Formats: sequence, structure tokens, C-alpha cells
Amino acid sequence: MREVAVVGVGMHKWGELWETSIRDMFVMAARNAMNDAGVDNIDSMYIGCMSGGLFAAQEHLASMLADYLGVLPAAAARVETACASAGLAVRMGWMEVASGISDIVLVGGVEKMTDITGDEATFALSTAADTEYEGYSGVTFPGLYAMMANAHMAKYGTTLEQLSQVSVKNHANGALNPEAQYPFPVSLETVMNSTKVAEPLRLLHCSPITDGAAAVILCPVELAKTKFKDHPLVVITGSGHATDTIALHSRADFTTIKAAEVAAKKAYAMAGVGPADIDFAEVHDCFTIAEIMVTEAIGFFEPGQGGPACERGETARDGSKPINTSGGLKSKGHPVGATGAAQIIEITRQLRGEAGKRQLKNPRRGLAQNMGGSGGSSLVHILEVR
Amino acid sequence: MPDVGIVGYGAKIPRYRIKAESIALTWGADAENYKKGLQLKEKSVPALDQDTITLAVEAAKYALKRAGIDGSKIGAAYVGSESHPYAVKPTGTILSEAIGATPECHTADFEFACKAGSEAMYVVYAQVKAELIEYGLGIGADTSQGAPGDALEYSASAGAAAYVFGTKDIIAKVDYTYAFMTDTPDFWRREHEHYPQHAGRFTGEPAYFKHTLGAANGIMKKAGMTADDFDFAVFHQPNGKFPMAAGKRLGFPREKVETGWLVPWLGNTYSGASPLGLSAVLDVAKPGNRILMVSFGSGAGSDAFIFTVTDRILEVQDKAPKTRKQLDENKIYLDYGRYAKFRGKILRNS
Amino acid sequence: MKIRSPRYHRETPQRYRLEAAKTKSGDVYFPPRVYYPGGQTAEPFKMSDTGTVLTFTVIHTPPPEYSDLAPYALGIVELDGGGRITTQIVDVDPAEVKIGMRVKVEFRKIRTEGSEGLLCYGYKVVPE
Repeated sequence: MREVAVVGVGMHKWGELWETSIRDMFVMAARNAMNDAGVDNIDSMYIGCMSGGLFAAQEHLASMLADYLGVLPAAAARVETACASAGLAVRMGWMEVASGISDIVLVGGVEKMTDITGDEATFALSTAADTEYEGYSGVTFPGLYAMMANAHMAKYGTTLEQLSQVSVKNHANGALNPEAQYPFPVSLETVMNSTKVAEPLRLLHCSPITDGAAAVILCPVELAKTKFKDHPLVVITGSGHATDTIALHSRADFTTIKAAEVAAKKAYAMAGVGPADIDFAEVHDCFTIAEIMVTEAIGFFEPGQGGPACERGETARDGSKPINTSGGLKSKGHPVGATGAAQIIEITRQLRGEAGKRQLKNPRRGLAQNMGGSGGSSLVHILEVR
Repeated sequence: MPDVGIVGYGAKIPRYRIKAESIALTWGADAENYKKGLQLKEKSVPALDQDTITLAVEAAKYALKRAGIDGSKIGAAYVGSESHPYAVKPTGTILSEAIGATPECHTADFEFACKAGSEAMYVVYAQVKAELIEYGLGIGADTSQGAPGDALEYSASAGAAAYVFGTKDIIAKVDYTYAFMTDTPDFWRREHEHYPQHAGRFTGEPAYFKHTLGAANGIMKKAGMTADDFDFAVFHQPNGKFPMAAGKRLGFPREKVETGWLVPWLGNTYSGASPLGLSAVLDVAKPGNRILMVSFGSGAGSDAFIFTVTDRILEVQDKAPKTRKQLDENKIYLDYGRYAKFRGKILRNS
Repeated sequence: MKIRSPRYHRETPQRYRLEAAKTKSGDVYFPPRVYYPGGQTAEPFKMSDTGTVLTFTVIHTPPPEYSDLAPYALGIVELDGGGRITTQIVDVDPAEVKIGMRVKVEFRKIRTEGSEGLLCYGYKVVPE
């Protein structure tokens, strides 16, 4: 198996992009990634998109995007595992390069979420749950994570303040990210008094509805060493992917994300490292409780300690385990099918020393955790700079 | 032919209520007119997720519980209502599916204003009597509507009562039945209209009293009985005044009518009205008690039953929630705004 | 999105009667499956109509078809004797819902497909 390098990254300013179509958003991000790598063509591409059909009434995206990107007749596929779709695209591209089938593979994701009403978007997102046995009850995604939050609070004493601190921290990070949808700080008071969405979660505990795309160029490390020497060499050293029941009610424990735990174990084993060896991470904070639960699941903190750790500042940029320096899904935005690729972009930029005002001091190894649904799927990637 | 009777019964009353004062305040009326004059203090309101079908299903489940039989034993299920949720598609199929009576079950939806519930009981009784089926369900259920501001708005309410009839383990044997009916245009609702029309004071003497008293006198004559032979009498109760007046004219002392007199706090549950009254009587009845039940439906007609309670009544009374308990406890009061929303009385974009 | 007849009809044994399956080892699967983990066999199992709230939320921003009901409590309920459902908790002030609360199942209207479409029924729970 060949080692795989990240040689190009690109996205664009995320937000409510009323004037930009799904195809244009993707091409903007993809061309930025290709320019960053210095390539004009690719062998193949994998695009994560949760629901081109429900959000944009457009299926068969892979061919359309390959066409508008100007890379026909390159192989192209859309992949889907709800909000972890782009994480899956990264893994598929990594496998294709590692196996020796292709050399230059573009992986990324795109979601156009504002062409439909907020209600319709709520419904489209809810299809990532079990439509017949969860969705039919009238549950929403905030509702599913709210039920996890209530269970976590009851079991571990996690507090509303801790759930809110995650949002405060991520907005503080996102304020330094020019590509973030909401690049401004928020106060604890503002978060705690924001509109109720699904108790105990309020609006500012929830990631927003976002239009956006992100893309990454992968190639074999040996090729990167000879042809792509403009940036420090960033290598994917671990990739893990796991599933769990789609329905939250089918799980033995609502206070942990088993799929993230298993995916992280696989990625750690492949990279030959453990949680202590990771300098920083981008995790899937679709709701602030998710960040708390994931930092526990990937072994950064003991079960129940994710909230207190955030409250103590351990997950801030100057803490021992910086989490979501990009602003996370909360501040940067969450175009569901693109998020996993944007996480790889932030890890790469930090490792390269290109993260601008939010740059960490000489990080060597970062982890990206992307999640589908209420934890029905998760992907974990570990990246190192050499 | 075998003895046939009720082997299980169940009642379902929604938790929501609205007081006469809240309705009167909205329309500039005097609540005392309704509370004192018509004896209508408050009424039940179905929740947004309750309709005739859901109320009928819950009542039927309680009835099966008291009967101690599985839904699959039900050979016929008839639901009487003037508020069947679909114009075309049976209430009975959904009900039968929900209680597990399908597919070997005969079903039909009945409509006869407030008489449809007793009609369902009447037909099920006849089917069991004819030995066509072992058990059958007769249900009266409604989420009736009165036009905003109309006198009917103070009474039109929601509830259901279900009766399993059979030949084994009877709790109240049917001794006599009797039906009395004419064509009388006292109250109607045309297709596609939201609210019924009524003929004001014409709904009293020529409609309610003529048929209720006609059926009551008819069945007592058939049985060779008088008011003295009964422990309880249940009449259709469109308001608090009418059933009491009917009882008095038939020679029933007030206390024999009061047990099944729910309307001041429940409102008129239409097809559910006299069946719910009967359920409240069965909740407290003792072995050997004799009960007269007379329904009334506009249009117009009355069904009458005479029941004799058996020893088994004492075994089943506590097996499901009692009617008065549902009526008196855990009430949630609505203001007129929420009531109007619940009942779909607010103009909205589709 | 509208629920069309075939899909609605297919789910009625579960929605109307809580029909599940139970394996020899006592695990309850709701809905029943074509294949059970480990190749176990399972028998039809009708879940109980009483249970306990394991966790819950109060939904303030519902999907479109549920907007008239908001705010509504919704939880995961473990039914007595096994099996779990995600369901609305109704006939109660949402502020009174608690983990560990005892509830019973009722047949309710779940959603209405406009003024012309299907009326969709199923289970909800109310305080016991």
C-alpha cells in the first residue's frame, strides 16, 4: 500500500450564497485546491454530498461536477454517508491512491442548502435518521442530539454552561477564519439565552445551514516528494471508518458515539499512535454536545470529562488539546456533504503553518473526525507533517 | 337464540377542556345562560392528534381489556360518528387494524347524527344474537363541531365509548331493544359544510322529546316495566336540561339519571353521548341492577336498550380507566385561541 | 414530503400494533428484520403498551408537518418487557417530562398530509 499525501487544499467563503449554484461552488473550491497543488487535471474524484436530490433537486452530481470542473472524462463518483460524506470521499480517494490505481485524486464535498426553505432543510436533514422509526415521530436532528445531551447531563452532570462554552470557543476560533460563515465571537450569555431549538439545545448550540464546498488533492507520498514541493509534506497516516445503528434508540448507550470511538481506534492503529500523540483535532460539532461526546469517544478525555475539559480551556487554541481551530461546524458553517473535506483542509493548513491568525505553534499531528447522522457513521483521519 | 350482552366496555375522553366562560367571552355572550339554562359548564376538546378514529381505538382497547379477549376475536366492528375523519375511507378499517381484528372482520361506518353509536351497538348485538359472530364491537365516537358563536359551540365535544358484545362472560345482559324513528328535519349538515345547521327550538319537543320519550315508553311497554323497575336511566344528552326533563317526564327520580349525566362537564359527544353515559353507569353498577338506555339522533330517531347487570361486572370495573375519573381528573384548560387552533377554526394559508 | 400509500401501508403492523420480533436470547427488534445478528431466529412479539422514558427533548423547531404541535416533548421510551421507540410524549406539559417517567402508549394521529392527503396514525405516549 502506498503512503498518501495531501498536496492541495481549497475552499471558499461559506455562507448563504444566494447567487452561487451547487456546480459553481464546487468548481470554486476544487479549482482552489488544484491551484494550491499546482495541477491542471486529475485522474479521478470522489465528491461527498448528502442530498443533492432533496436540497438542490440534482442527482448524478459526479458527472455534472466533473464537466464543470473541466476534467472530463475523469472517473467521478458521488459518495454519501449523511454528514460524513466528504470524510468518506477522502477515504475513498485515499484508498484509490494507496492501492496504486490512480495518482492524482480530488476528494471533497458540496452542499447547497439554501435553495429550499428552513422547514424543508430540517426535513432533508432528518432523513439522515431512520425515517420510519425516528423521523415519523417528528424528531429532528437537533432533537436527537438534544436527547443525547439530556442523557449525558443526567449521567455525568454535564452542564448547559459547558455545552455553551463549546460554542463560545468555536466562535472565538472562527472569528479568525476568513472563510467562516459566522466569523464573530459570541458571549456565554448570548449562547445561553439564544432561541430554544430542541431542549436543552438552543440556536447557538447548533451548527447553521450553509452553502459551501471544499476540495483536497491527494497523491502518493513518493510523487509528492518529487512533484509537489511548494508546501510542507502532509501525509495521511491513519484512516478509520465505522458504523453504528442508524436509530439512536437502538443503541445501548446514548452518551457515547461508538462509531467515532471505533473509527478512531482503527485510525490510531494504522498510524501507530494514540490520543496522547495527537496535537489538535477538528471534530464534528454539529451540535455542541457532539464535540463533547466525540472528544471523549476519540480518547482525548475520559467519559464525562469532555464538558469540564472545554470549560477549563483545554480545548482552546492555547490549551493542551485544541479542538476546532477552524471555528468548527458551529462558526465556520456546516454544508453537510462538504464538512469532512473542510476538516482535512484545516488540519493541513495548521500542519503547513498556513492557518493565519489562528495558527497553532508547530503542530506535528492532527486528527479529523467526521460524523454521519446521530452517530450512525463516523470517519477519522490522522495527518502528519514531515 | 343465546343470551347476548355486553362483555366489555371502554371510554375515552380527551384531557383538554374549554369553559363556557371562555367561549362566551369571545362572542360577547352571557356564560350564565349556558351554565344555568342549558347546564353546560365546560366541554372536552380533542387534542390536535386526536380524532374520532384515535378516540374509538382507545375506547375499543379498554373494552377488549375488560372483556378479556384479544382483538382477533372481534368478528364485526362498527363505528358510529358524525365526524369520521375521511369523507371516503372507512374509520372501521383503521380501527380494526389497530386492535388486531383484521382480516376476518366485518366493518361499517355509521352516521345518524348523535344516534350512530347506539346504532353500532344495536347492529353488533343483532349479529351476535343471530350467531353470525362470536364477539363484536359497537362504538360511538365523535369530535363534533359547532359553528363559532352558535349555541352548539358550548356543547359540541369529543369522546368515545366502545362495547364488546358476546354470549360468554356477560357483564350486562341485553333484555330488550327497541327503535323509534321518523323523518324530522331538526338538524343536518350538508356535504362539504364545516358546521351543522339546526332548527332552533324545533329541535326540542318535535325532535328530542318525541323520539326519546317514544322509544323509552315503547321499550318499557314491550318489557312490561315502569320507571320503578330501573336502577339507572341514561338518555342522550345534547345539553344538561333535556335528559333531566326526559327522565322527569318518564317518572325517573333525578338520582337514577344523574349517574350517567355527564354533559355539564363533558359537553355533547354526539355519537358518544349516551354510550359514554352508559359507561359511567357500568363503572358503578352492582350485580342485578337494571339499566334503561335511550339514544337520540337528529333526523330523527332513538334506539333503546334494557340491560341487566351480572355478577361479573365487579371483576371488570377496575380493569380500565373509569369514565368519571377521565372526566374529573387531569384536565388541561384551553383558552379560546388555542381551542380555535385545535379545532381548525383559524383561517390559514394551505 | 408526502408519505405515499404503499409505504404507509407497509408500516401499519408496527405503527398501529407495535409488532416486533424477539430472538431466543431475548433481544427485541422493532421493527422485525429479515435477518437477525448471528443468524438467530426470532418470533413475532407484540411490545407492551407501558414503559419508561430513557431520555427526551422538547422540540421547538419541528419539521413542517409537525409545526402545529410545537413545542412538543419527544423521547426514547423503553417498553416493559423489551423494545424501544422514539415517540412524542403528549397530554403533558413538556416542562414536566423527566427521565425515568412512566408512560403508556396511545393511538394518535401522527401527521396530516394537507387537506386532501392521507391521515397518518401511529403511537405516542402519555403519562401513565
